[in-house]
Amino acid sequence: MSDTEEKLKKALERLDKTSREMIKTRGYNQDARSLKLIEELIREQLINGNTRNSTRTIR
Amino acid sequence: MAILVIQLARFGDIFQSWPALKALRRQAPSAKIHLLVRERFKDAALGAAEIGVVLHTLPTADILAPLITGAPDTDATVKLDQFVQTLKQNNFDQIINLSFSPFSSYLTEALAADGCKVSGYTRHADGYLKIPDDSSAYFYAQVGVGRHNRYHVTEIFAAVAGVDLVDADFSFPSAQGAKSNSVIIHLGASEEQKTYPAELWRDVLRELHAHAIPTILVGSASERPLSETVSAGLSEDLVQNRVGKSTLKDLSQWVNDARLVVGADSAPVQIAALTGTPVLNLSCASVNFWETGPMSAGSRVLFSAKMHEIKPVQIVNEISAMLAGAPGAAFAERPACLTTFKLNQVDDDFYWRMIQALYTAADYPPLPKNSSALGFQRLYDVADLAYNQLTKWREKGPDSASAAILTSVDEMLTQLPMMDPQVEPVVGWFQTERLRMGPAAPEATLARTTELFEQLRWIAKVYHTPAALIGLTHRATELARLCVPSLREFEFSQVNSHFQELLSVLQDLGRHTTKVGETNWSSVLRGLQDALEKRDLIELADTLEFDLPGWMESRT
Repeated sequence: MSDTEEKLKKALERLDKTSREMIKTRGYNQDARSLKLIEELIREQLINGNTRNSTRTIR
Repeated sequence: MAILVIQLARFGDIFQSWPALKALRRQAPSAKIHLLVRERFKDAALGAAEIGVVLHTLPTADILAPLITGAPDTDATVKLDQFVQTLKQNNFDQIINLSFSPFSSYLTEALAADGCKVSGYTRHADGYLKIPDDSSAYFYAQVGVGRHNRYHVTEIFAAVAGVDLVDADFSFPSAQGAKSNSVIIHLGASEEQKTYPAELWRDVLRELHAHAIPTILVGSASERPLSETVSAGLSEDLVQNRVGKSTLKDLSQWVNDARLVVGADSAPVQIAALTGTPVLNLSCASVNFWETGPMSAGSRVLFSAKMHEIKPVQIVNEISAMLAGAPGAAFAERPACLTTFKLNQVDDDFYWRMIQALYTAADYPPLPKNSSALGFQRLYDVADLAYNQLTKWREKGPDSASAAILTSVDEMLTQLPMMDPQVEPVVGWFQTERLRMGPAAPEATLARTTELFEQLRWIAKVYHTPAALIGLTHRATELARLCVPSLREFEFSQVNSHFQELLSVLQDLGRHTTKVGETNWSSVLRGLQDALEKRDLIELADTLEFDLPGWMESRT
């Protein structure tokens, strides 16, 4: 795993934890959406996101 | 009016979105159309300005940079928010999201102001996936490798955009000029499974070289070593190696000029759809040529389960036939751009016919011969169980036993397609429709869920044979076998009583079963009565021997 990939993975873990807590306590709001956006953007880089395959685990 | 089209997939998907963009421009000449693509793939949108489309790019690397340089995470979210707010200033009246991805769904929601019409994936107010239009729901349920969709992605993109395509929408603004005699060959592909082996390409090129057919090799810089290996020792006059030496604009021009493009599903094949250049597509089970194969008229597909099973001689023969305008031996052909592929073999795909029945009100197909209806029987039982529990729930209120049963139903629905893949399109449709239910009052959710299980039960019932009917079916077969020999000897009187009983059994079966495919019990009965009226005993025997048993075999 490259250094960049490692850093992105760790960032994803942090953001994921934060967004989960936020949604749990305050519901899905604009801040939660910003976090989800970044999370998904990272996830696409990590899996070299293929649009059609990624639909299967979307919800 | 401001319209934003979001296409965040790769080169090929951007090319395949092009006809929808042109159709949008045609249908809304005064609209301000914006297109958002990834920075990395923006070259595929090189013709945007020529049809008055404003191009925006998603600066992924810039947004994610703080996470890599060790800056606070909030720097990245701030950058992304700035990007969203800048784009949002265009006050879009309509957003068409053609990227079926989680990121694009959140982005669409973030960009859509109140009153904005949205098609494609977005998000509900509670953050769950929202699929507002039927075309995107179809994509979610039925599109993808290993599934059975036969609508081309280009057509699905147009449907999501709400436009009808015409031939003129397939054009590439930057490519002009007359056709040459060259054949463009794309050696590589985006994935290893859909790449034709180097040693076999070498045989193809040698054979084309021997036939003096001029070829141009194209591809990315990473495919350069492959191209050098396969073209070694061949005359550069006949085999021009341009791999890794072109921009996308050059490639588009070469594809436009070529007589033929040969390759797997990849950017050159998608460009050829826009330049009208015929394609010989090499396809295998890890791609679905129906949905991403060539769209240009006269294109052909050579298919085998594994790419290496396609023989070099097949490729050379098909290229020669296509250049000569002669018939070939391809697996499939596309006679015109806006038609579907024509298979050069018997085409009776149960799965595709099932999908058509689910989405276009076509008849439900009979089960393939020698296949079992067990999966559908189980599906009926599961849907019936859920429907009854939900009805009870609505009448008497929730209880823990019903909740446990409904949880089991969900698990069974996940497992059923693994047990019997024939039910997969139906379960895919059902699960997608359930997912499409947005946040709502519990009563409304309960009512819609009940309605969906009722529909599922109805569909499964088409293939569901209650035990009582199985006995009648066996009796009908037995009686038919008794009658046929005497009918063929013109000795109707000997089997009159059997025949009357058979008519009675068929009437019973006709009353209790649902229409399946082109034939049903009632139509067999009508066939027998017609033959009887004409006193045509041979036709009577034929109907029993060919129609009745054939149909019954498909049910057992």
